[in-house]
Amino acid sequence: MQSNKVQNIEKVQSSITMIVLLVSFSMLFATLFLGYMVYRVRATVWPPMGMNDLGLVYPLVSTVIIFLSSAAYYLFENKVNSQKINDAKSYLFTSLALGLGFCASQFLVWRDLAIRGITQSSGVFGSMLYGFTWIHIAHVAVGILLLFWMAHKVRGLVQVEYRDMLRVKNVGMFWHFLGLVWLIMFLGLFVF
Amino acid sequence: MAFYEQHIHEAPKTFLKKYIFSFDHKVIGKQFLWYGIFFLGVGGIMALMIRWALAFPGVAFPLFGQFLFPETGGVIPPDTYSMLFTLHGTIMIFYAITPILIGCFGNFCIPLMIGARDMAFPSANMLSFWVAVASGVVLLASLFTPLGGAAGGWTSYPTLSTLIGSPGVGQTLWTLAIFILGVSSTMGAINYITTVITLRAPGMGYFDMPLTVWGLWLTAILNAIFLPVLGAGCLLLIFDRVFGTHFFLAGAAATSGNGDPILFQHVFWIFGHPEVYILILPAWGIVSDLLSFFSRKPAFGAKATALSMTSITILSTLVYGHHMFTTSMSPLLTQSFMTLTMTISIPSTVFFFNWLGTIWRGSIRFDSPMLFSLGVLFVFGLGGLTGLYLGTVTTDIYLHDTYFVVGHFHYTMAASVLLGGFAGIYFWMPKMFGVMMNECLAKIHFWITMLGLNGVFMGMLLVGYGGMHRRLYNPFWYEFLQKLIPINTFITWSAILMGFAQFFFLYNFIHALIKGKKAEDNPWNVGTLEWTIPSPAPHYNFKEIPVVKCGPHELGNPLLSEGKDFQYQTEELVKA
Repeated sequence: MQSNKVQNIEKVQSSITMIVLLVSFSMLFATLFLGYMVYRVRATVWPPMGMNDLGLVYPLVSTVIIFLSSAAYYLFENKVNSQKINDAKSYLFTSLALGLGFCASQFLVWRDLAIRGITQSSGVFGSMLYGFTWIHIAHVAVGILLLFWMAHKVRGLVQVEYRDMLRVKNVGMFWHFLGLVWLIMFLGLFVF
Repeated sequence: MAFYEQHIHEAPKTFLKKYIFSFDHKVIGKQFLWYGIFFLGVGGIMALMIRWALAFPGVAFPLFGQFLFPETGGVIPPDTYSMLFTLHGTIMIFYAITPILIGCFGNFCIPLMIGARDMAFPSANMLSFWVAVASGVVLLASLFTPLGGAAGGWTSYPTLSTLIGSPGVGQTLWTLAIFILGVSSTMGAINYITTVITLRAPGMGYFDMPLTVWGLWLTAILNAIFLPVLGAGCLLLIFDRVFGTHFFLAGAAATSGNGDPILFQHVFWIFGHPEVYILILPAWGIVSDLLSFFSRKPAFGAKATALSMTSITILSTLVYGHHMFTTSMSPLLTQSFMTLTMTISIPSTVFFFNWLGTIWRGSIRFDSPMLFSLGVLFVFGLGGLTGLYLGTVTTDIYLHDTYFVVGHFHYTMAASVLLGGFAGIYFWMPKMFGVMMNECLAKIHFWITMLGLNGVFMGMLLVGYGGMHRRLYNPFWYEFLQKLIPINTFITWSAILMGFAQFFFLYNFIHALIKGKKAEDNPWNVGTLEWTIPSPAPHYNFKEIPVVKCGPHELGNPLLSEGKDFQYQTEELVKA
């Protein structure tokens, strides 16, 4: 059993790492949003010609799903921290299933856009709709792999060690971050 | 201060674990060194080919020209010329300087100088190297694609880098390679930042860290923040090229709607200007330490130097617009960027004067690391001063895109960093490999390099001021530039001289590795933590984690006992 001091140290170390990592990811997405703002501010007509009706249903479904997935992960983390591992597992699997559901909903978003005649080559706004969501879903795919890895780790778990809690916390930070990025994307690209 | 003590890992036994997939920061540092030296050679040969084309247009390139370009009788063709300057810049910046200064010295020096047994995340460290190798392979593979490698310049501005300007797959692979390398560097950066914060030896405050570590740490912070910006730009460029998006396409190039090629320039330089400091900060740190060590004096204003480097790091994030004065930017913006750029002169001057203060009245030892450090002082001074003309809107409009810019950034990014890198290699060779390099050969290497280097870069400043644009295959089609042929020939001979000087280094380096004189534990008589352990450093670094009791530059204290003019950082400071 590691001493409390070492536990605290590892917590701080992993926090620093996760913060730096999330700053890096934030800069990547911030660059995309910066580009979006530049185009948006300079556009004489917005939304561009022929793109008045983007169809909000599927993006909204994606938003609800990723929000629920984040919420399920939050409950999973709470249960892990209070050592209720059996309850925790069901929340993790819910979060994972919803994550996969989010990916499926993204395919529906792209299909719906294509039906409306909007493709990645439909001017810069079409490029942004597709390009940004591609980059986001690539990160979501990594997040889902992490959730699978987490599911593998907790499968036979009886007693939660502090290192398990650290893992759960770090993966959670990444997963919630991706939810937040999607929310900004949804509001910026589809709603306003 | 150390958060915790890492365990001593068992020494690796198999060849694979010891040399190929090693977790040891020292081995990974050396792997980055080999990687960097290899690409330095490739980029150097490309530079010579560029210079040959400019000095002797229409003349076959000697040695292997006939083999590479049989269809033109050995003469470098125009499209190849564009690839050469593109890949020379890319390779030197991302694949030579970055691995040597950041990958090699960062990995090798940080844990040793802060009293740690390894990096915070050794496996991520190993992964970072192998991802860099993958990136190098992709870049080299781009040369063998049907239309050849990327040819849009190292900045890869659209439309030169879109399918219109570069239809081949080479440019796509270039962009992918840079993205992959960004992933590698970001992994390294996160490791460096965490290591410095959490693994410093007990007693070592931030200002007790050697300035080398300061430089590397600040570089890592800039890398972690700004590499993803370039990553985003690369991804969008790949989408434009592969999936038909329109981020950077405008006018007739865009089938519907309009993108904006200038947006890529913004994204590129938001990363690109900090990148200049990403490359130079480690060299500044190394030079700041070495000037003190070889002047046998404490570093003058060491805290101010560290804070100046920090200020420059922060300011470097706010000045990128000075690269884009000629893009119809609003005058309000150009003036703001100009003012912010000039502000960088203040902290730069502070640490430059601190360097002079350090050597002032010192008992200077002109060993090879010191010679190279003094070389940095000279070339960086010139590079910095010529930068003022490019940071000022009125003069930049005239000088933009000329060889003056090429001369300026070679003085700052190439000459300073190259000399700083050599200073570091000569200085840490004993600790890396347990052998000393030959001093006489090192000094010959220095003087011939300095001669060649100044001939090249000062010549570039002159022809640039004379109006010669960069990236022209044969500028002498223009009558007004024909008078510059003799200077261009002089620059090329200087470049050949500079290239020739590197054989002294190569011979010295290889000879030292094979049968060099065995190094003592502390051949330079300095007190930083890496010199308290045997040479070469054992795999566990420190048997006992050291306790730091004084700063890294405690030299020349008159109260020290006779025969010793320095203190180890583990010794109590001698006071009256």
